[in-house]
Amino acid sequence: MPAYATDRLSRGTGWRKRRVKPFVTTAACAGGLRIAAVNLHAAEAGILPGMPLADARALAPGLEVAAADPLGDAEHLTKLAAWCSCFTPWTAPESAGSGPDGAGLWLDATGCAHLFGGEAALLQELLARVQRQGFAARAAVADTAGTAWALARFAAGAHCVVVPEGGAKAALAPLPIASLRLPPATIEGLATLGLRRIGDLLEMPRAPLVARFGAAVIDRLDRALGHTREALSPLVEDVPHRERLGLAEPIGTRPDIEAALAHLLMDLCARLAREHVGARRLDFTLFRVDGEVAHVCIGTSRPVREPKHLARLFAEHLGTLDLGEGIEVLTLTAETIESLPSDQLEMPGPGLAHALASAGVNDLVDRLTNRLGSDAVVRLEERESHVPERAGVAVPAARPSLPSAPPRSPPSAPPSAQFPPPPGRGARPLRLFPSPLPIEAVAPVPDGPPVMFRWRRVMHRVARAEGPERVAPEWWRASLPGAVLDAPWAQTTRDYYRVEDDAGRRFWVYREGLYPLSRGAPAADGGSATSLPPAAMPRWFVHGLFP
Amino acid sequence: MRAIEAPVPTRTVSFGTAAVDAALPWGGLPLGCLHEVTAPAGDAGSAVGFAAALAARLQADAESAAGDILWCLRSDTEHETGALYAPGLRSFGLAPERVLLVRANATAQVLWAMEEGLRTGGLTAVVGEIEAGARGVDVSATRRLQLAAEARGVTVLLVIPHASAVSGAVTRWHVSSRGGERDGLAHRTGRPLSPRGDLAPRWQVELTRCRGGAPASWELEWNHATADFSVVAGLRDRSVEPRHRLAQAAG
Repeated sequence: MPAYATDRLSRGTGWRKRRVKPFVTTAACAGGLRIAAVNLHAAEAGILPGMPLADARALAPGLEVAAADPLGDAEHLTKLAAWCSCFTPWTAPESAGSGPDGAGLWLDATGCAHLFGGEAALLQELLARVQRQGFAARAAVADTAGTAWALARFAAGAHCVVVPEGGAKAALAPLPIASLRLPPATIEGLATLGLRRIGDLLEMPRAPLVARFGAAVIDRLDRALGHTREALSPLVEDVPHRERLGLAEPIGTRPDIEAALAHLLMDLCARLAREHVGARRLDFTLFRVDGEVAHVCIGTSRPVREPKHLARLFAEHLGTLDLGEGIEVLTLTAETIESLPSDQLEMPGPGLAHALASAGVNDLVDRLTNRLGSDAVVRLEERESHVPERAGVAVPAARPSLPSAPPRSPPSAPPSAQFPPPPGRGARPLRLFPSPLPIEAVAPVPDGPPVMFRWRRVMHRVARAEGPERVAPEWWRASLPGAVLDAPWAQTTRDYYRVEDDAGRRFWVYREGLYPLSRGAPAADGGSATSLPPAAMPRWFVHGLFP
Repeated sequence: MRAIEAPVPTRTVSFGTAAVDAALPWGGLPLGCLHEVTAPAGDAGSAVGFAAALAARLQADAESAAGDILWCLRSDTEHETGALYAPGLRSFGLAPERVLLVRANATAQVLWAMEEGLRTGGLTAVVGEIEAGARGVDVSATRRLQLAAEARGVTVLLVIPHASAVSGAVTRWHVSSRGGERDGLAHRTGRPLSPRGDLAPRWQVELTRCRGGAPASWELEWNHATADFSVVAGLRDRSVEPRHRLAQAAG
């Protein structure tokens, strides 16, 4: 794209002037504003990058000027590279400063060209689409990146060049030395020797060239001809499970998008079924006409290759999409896949009924999780611990994908049945507060249940009580790595009581810590909790509610 | 109209006590329909407990026990009434690994999740907790739940503090906690809460609405070891006590 920077700033309906008149961007340099980039009209007027702005104004009186924005340029170039992934999964923006002006994109069309009816057709479509976005562009396909780079910029005449396999030498020969991506000083040096075209270089003996200009010249030449390999880093890694749908006319309504999605899902799921895998995470990418890219990602709780189910999950998110002026290309990618054996029909019976039920519940988990978030849809699990907070935990029902997920145990042997409640453990409340709530309690010492307590500004008189059940910190965990030492349950002993107030409501309350018996004096004062100094008063909490 | 009023012969689950089963025109709690559980202000715990007990009955029932129980509530009620606690569920007679819990941010999401659950086959029951003063739970919402429950044969238990007068529910239960035995010594602290050591919950359970049936009231005890209800002895066949006298007796 020879005038990328100026083209980028002249897109849109408000900037017609910039498109029909000389237009430049400027950057502040030592000695004032200098021209950073020029458009076609400015170049025709003789304005060159690096020229002071005042000189440019003299050359073209009606000059349009804008500040250069290299960061914005780079950002948009990356976006454009991502957009081009509707042609091939391997795209990369050209690193900044590698060309004299303008900007470029690398596309590896290996194995993709036949989808568009050949390399020439691919180039035509690519150029048409990029030009529709408002960028003048030229393109070339060649065996090597270096040849393509040279031809896209310096080939005379045509906007798009296709070099047949092995034709690199012939195609490069008439091009100027500058097309080898060499530093300006080297180009000038070669020019003084009369070497102006690549063809001249090819005929030269190589040793004197290296001696005079360093290895760069030969290296670039070898890269262009394919004698040395050249590494480019692509924007995205290749993902194999991908389906693509290009459209002749852009679509912009939800039913159309859904129809396209159903088509893609059908193809993708057929392929997943052939490979005995299922998708855990899918990315639905919509390429808009104006160069924006919209992504819709969904995750599932287990490998899935059921088009209807996946379509329902996507449908949750399609309503919020900004479709802009329309969508012209859609891709669907299974980003994470896991093995999923083929469906097997079971004999009718309780086993089949249970299989159907669990499949239905898994679908439900996916739908709920996609709408409410994975933290909102949980299963309750018991853990082997006597500390109440640790004994029951909530884990997301849609488990994160693991490389080796353990198979789900059959329902007849639930995993938690391995931890029967220890003998002597008292009843546990149906509901537990995430953090215990402090109460004001009056209780006899030592070790008596509260007589009355105030919770949420309501006084409860205790009618019955049961306890205490002493729960001590798990001292053996303190030495384990990652031990949580500042949690309240890790520090103090608790005495739990089950109490019932005079209205019949039942609470699970506890006293934190022990009475300071070693001092002796407060207990001898008459055995009342009120006689203890306030600092030594044990604190009471309500931790759960019994039904 | 007749179809709505007449009790259709349907699958039921027994309460485990003949007195309650006999009072219901179906001979038990009918499956595949909406039941509302209400509670007096400040005592939402007993309504949840009663719903959990019914869910445990459903889970224990061989016919409907194939699937999980979907339990939907608003996440901010966890600070108000506590979060569901797995060891507590198990000691209550409800297997926690068979409970799928949905913690939504809004009442509308709770209702949506319940309806999604009803559209899925393979659930034993759907339990929804609606907090006090929630909006949007009107007759059309309960009607939708009832229709969805009928279509899929999944039982819905809706815990709702203040149910609207008109509702699509088939039955409505008003549950308040009763505590242990009343023997005149209730105020002496230190009396054992559960003489038999099982901490059986006791509720005054009133059947306030019943399609095709008459209101009734019992004092029920939930035995979580056997997962069944029993009518507290001495109160059988007694007339319904007015609520203010109950309060007097308690206070």
